[in-house]
Amino acid sequence: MLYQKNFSNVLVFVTSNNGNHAQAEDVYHEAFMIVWRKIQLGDFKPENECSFNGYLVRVAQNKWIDYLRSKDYKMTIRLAENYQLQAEEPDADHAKNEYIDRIVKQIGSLDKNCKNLIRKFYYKKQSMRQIAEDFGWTEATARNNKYRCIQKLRSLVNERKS
Amino acid sequence: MNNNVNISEEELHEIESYLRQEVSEKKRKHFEARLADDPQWQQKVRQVELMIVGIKETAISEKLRSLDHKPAVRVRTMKPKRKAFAPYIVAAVVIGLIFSVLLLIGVFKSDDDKLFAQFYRPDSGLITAMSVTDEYNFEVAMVDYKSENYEAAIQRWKALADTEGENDTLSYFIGSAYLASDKVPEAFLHFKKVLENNQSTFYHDAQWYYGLALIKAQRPLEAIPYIAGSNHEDKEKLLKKLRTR
Repeated sequence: MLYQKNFSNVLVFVTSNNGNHAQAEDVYHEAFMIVWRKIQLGDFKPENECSFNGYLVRVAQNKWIDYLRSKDYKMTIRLAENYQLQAEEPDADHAKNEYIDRIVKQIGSLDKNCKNLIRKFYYKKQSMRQIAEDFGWTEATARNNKYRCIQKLRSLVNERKS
Repeated sequence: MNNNVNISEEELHEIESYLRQEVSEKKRKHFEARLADDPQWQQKVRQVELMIVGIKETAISEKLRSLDHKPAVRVRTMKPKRKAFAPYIVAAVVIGLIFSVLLLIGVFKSDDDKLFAQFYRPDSGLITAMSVTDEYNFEVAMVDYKSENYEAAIQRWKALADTEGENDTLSYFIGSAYLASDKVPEAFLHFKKVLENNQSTFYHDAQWYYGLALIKAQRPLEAIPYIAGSNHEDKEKLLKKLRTR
């Protein structure tokens, strides 16, 4: 199976280079989210499944190499002989990635209703009418609450920056 | 990037409507003209776009994480003797789940699937529609439908159709529930029944959803006359896309 092969590649690479299964899962997850974000921002446009798979595995392998080179990991290791080190692609725009990182981090500080509301609207793409029905609000209240939640999120992001 | 730029509620609504492609052609052109000329507006739009990426990313990441670990724990605790095989079982489960999420976010969707996803919103349902005798069963099914429990709604409505006969209301909502649960051939069958009666209250809505079902079935050209026969507010936008392919 195509996707099994993706993870298998990462699993083999990580476990062949001083990692374990759980670390392979983590690095695969992280790589997946990086690729997902690049697609969202238009920084990566996969032409087909092969290009997506190749890129995903490459990012995962680079993430693992970064980890092995980091201060957290000080053991001297020898990489699998047939693997060529590849430099991580430089970020086209560091500022936008940093801003998204802060958004991701601060969403956890919002109250449950806010998290639920913005998830329904932005992720599940529910209409304000549906959301208002779910919460037992009027549509105008739902709209006001959404704005309040977004303002709260933006102020948290800006507070942490300054 | 200046993050302190003020975005009013009206501006947020305007930007979101544009990004969700919920604006008229005229408003879209106006929005894009402003975007080209006004650096502050560009900044506001970019900031909302990035914020939405962050929100969606959080949701997907949490979903993946929550799916990742539960099966792993279950496999390891229930079958300790097979511990040596656990990593491969877990890997298969994790990959399967990631595959589902990939499909969910539409990375590999065909153009028709993407078009369907862009325009399809399940019918929001009714409050009451039938006689007092049948009202209870119909409404229970409608609650199921609105709760996205489409299978249960279909079972109830079909039982009602078996006992009371299938009218256009039942045909329309059974078709809607089938379409919402990706059962396109069944959806065709029930929408077709509504389309046989051009006096039906649901006739135009059935045209819209029948057309969308054809797009979902990778038959976009056949969808054109049905979409054109609907009175949906997005019909011109969808027709334009269908005709320019």
